[in-house]
Amino acid sequence: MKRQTQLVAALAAATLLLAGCSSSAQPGAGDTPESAGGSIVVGAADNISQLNPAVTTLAFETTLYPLLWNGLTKQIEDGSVAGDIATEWSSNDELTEWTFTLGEGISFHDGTELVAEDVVQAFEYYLDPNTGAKAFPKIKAISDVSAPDDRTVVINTETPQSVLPLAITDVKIIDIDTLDEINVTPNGTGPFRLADFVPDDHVDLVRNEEYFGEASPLEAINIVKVADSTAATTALRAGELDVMFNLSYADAEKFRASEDFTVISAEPFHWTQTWKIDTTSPPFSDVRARQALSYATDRDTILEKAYYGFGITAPTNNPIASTADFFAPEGLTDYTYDLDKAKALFAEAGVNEGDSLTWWGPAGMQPEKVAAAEILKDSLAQIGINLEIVLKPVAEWTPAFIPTGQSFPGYIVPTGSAAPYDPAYLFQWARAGACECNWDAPEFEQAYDDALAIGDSAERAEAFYTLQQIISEEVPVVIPLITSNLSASSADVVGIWSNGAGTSLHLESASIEG
Amino acid sequence: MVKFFVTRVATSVLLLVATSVLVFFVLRLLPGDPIITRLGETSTVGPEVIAQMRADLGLDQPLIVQYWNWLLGAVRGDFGVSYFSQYSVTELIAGRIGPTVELAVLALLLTVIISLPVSIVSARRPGGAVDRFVQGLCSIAMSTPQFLLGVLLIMVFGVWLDLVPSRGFVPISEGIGANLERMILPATTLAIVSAPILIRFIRASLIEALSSPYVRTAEGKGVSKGKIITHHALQNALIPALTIVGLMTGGLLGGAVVIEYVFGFSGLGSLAIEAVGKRDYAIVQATTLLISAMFILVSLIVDLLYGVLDPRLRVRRNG
Amino acid sequence: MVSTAALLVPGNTRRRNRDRRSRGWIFPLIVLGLLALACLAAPLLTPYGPAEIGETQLAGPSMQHWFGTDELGRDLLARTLYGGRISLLVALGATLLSMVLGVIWGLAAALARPVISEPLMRLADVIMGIPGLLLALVFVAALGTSIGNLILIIGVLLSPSTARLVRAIALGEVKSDYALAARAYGASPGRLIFRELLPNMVPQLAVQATVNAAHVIIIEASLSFVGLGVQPPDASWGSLIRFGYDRIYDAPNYVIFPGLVMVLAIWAFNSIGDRLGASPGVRALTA
Repeated sequence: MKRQTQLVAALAAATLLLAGCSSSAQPGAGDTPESAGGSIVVGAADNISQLNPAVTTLAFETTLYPLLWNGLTKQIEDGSVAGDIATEWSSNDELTEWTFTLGEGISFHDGTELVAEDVVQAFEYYLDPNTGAKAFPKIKAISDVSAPDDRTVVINTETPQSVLPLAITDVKIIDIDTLDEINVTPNGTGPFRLADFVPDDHVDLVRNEEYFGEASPLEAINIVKVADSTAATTALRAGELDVMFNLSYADAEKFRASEDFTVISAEPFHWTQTWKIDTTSPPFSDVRARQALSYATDRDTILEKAYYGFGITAPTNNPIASTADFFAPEGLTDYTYDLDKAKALFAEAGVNEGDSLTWWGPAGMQPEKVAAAEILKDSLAQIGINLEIVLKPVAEWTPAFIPTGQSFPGYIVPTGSAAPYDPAYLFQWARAGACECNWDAPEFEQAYDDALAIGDSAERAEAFYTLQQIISEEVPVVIPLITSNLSASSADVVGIWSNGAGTSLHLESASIEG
Repeated sequence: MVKFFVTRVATSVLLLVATSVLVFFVLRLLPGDPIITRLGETSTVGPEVIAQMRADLGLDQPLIVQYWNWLLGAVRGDFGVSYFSQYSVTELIAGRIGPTVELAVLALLLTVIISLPVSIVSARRPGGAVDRFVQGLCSIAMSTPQFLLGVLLIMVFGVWLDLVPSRGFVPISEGIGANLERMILPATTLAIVSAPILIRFIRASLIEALSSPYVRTAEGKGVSKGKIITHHALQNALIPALTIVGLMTGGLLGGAVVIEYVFGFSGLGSLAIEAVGKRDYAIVQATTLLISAMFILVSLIVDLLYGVLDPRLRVRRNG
Repeated sequence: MVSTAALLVPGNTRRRNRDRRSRGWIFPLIVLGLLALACLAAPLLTPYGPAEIGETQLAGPSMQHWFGTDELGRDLLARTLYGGRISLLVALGATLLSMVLGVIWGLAAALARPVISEPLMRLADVIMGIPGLLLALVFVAALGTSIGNLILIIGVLLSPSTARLVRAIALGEVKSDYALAARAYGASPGRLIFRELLPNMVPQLAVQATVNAAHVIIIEASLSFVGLGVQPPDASWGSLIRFGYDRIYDAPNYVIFPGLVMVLAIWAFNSIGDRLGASPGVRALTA
């Protein structure tokens, strides 16, 4: 008996030693004192796997953008563009040459001063096709970036780009010299600096006292990964989390009614839910089949049951919400739920009773998509068409339709388009070469290019009516509704907002009240 | 004895290599790869760039070559870097091994603490009321999946009664109180699920030992039943119980994945699962290897202890 | 995974004596039978279909919906019964596969020449040394989550431990009096296996089968819980609990009721195994 006790004691001691040794350099959420600024804990059932903003693909990582870095310009809460590193800018009449004046006294976290050449290098990194930058489509019209002096940056574009200042908000000025260590020392210019990072576990940030801009009210932000959304909601309710990113619609409904919590959404709604279909292979190569699918989509039930009322239906299959200023007043096709029309159109396109379509969705996430699929399946079953629901983990889901140019006949792939709230971007996903739906309509491309060339004026909104009418008529993708990605915070944390249709959370102005 | 030891170690190393081969090739069966996963829902990158990225990571080489390179590195202690964060795999694992090991040890401790007294009490009166009650509870405990039990415990103790935090891990270096607060529920869950097996085994061994002639003689001589149990029966029962403890440890080290998931730990299990999902081959290989190695190590230790504690076994042929 | 019945009571080797009290397996068998029957006869027991979208979302138990409803208003009792079909089907299929594979594997490892039997046992060790759930996850990710694949993967996963048991028993049997006698009479290995070995192993195999079945249900539920098991709109007990877990605050009945049914099934399998194996005379399994 004694021997066993000794053994057990030795084992226990060894373990305690081991457990204590690991992650010892971790100023975690536990020991930040509640002083003037305070700190918050932000959680999500989502990963932050790496810190390089150029190659970010996980939505949660975008939370770090405004905290660790700055761009030449930035978007503010009302959606408009403001200066960030640049204090002012101007362009030539053709909108092909833009000159930016940089602010003074801006330095990286390591103390080196920021000069125009740093900006040029960052842009070149983003523009390099081998980087695979997510912001690339927005900035690919840029032909040249130069620095005539330390305080000036000149950007030239191939075609007129009326929205260039908006387009470059995602180009973060990272320190190219230390790019190799960006996951250990992300040398940015932002209002926070990195204290600790364990991939897929947590990111600890502390306030940058030498920040050139408006200092953040908070002293520290701890960003943690939570296993799943239920654990996150539990932690939020228990006060272990102050902010939760990616709130499910079902939970949002509960929180909306409570005084202790605030639901954060990006309004007006512009997270367009796009069900992508392959327009180059049967049956959806026939526009009638696509229209039929749109008629068969019970948008009201989907909004009510799957999205718990958060959103606006798109009965005209328009990616712009009907409440928007630039919503086309006429010329749109009405796809109000009509199974008879759907059945007739399907038959004309060669899809008859007994035929099958496939819903190809992501497994283990976004329950609203699963619910929508089941509602669609029910609708299609009523006209004799079988919808097979196939859910795959992300690593297996995306290769079927990315990169563009693949064939997936009879598949319906639910995605969402989170673009800045400007008509110039709300159609970007539909461009030839950008849309997984493989749609290439010369009429659409021409109208788009024409619209982009028009600067701010009354004509600009009208130029985008044509685009809406084309999408409504041609149905390159089925649009059931437009919503926002949601987040939640406890009621005493204020100053949080989101953009990118709710997929980017902004914490730089957050503070704790009371 | 030395020969026994050496052969066992040699076999263990071979097992490890075989495991690494199995894992390596099975992983490559998976559709998708780390590049596609990293790019996610972005369609901005053309196929040529993707091909270039793959070549940069050496993913276009023949599998044998890739495995050989990996093996060479592994022998030197270099397990590569994560395809996602460029952190070295060793660093990533080091950051996550603490919670897993601590949880395993605590769960084991709790299991033993629960099992010993319970099985002793049961064995004293087999078929009695207490025994039947314990058997019934064990039956139910063993029939409840870990995650269900974990979820229910969180609901009751974490939320409704608000006694402990519902998630997370705090290293001991930051406060043993905070650390144990978060460990108690998951360790208890694991213990509740594992204890019945140990209880049954010890109980059965005790009953058998208690009915042996040697014990009857002692009883006849007037030695109290309690003393008999602790001094004789228990020691005999504990030797084979070691085997079970060894097997359990393996289960705890790698099988606590679901518990990590439910209780929000970042341990080895969840590291491995996430890496599988992201096709981060380097991490999966290293983690699986480590877990298998720990399991094999524990088996080795158990075998050695067997040899030390039970002289009869040293003579036996290994087979 | 530790197989309970495999770590059996060390006892005397007169395996022909059956203790009369070990008829206790009949009760859990009846329970299991009734449960299976209920799942099969689901259409007769409930007016609702498992995919019937209803009006009231996430309702608690009521007279119209004994278990309540789910997020699309579907009746939970119906989903539990129809889901039970899938869970039990997977349990049956995977258990069968694991037993067949395990017996062949174990016999080969016991009776064949060392050049064949040694690698076979090492392979079993390697597979058992890798955390089971992890291996299952990798294979499910590779092959897909169809029910056939789940049966295949879980069945294969459980076969090494079965093989070990079979091998241990076979090794013991081969040395017994009757086997030696049969050999002395010139009986062929095939005859030995089918006429002598297997029939004598049936009781232990039956116990192992129930243990495996219980494990299958747990593994399937665990896989579903991490999202890699049965996919919507199909339901199994595991996936019901997974979806119920998301709604555990608003509708705890969503987790509790299917959970109770699942625990009942697992308990039934375990109990049958325990009481069958309670008969004295089965050797302990040493590692």
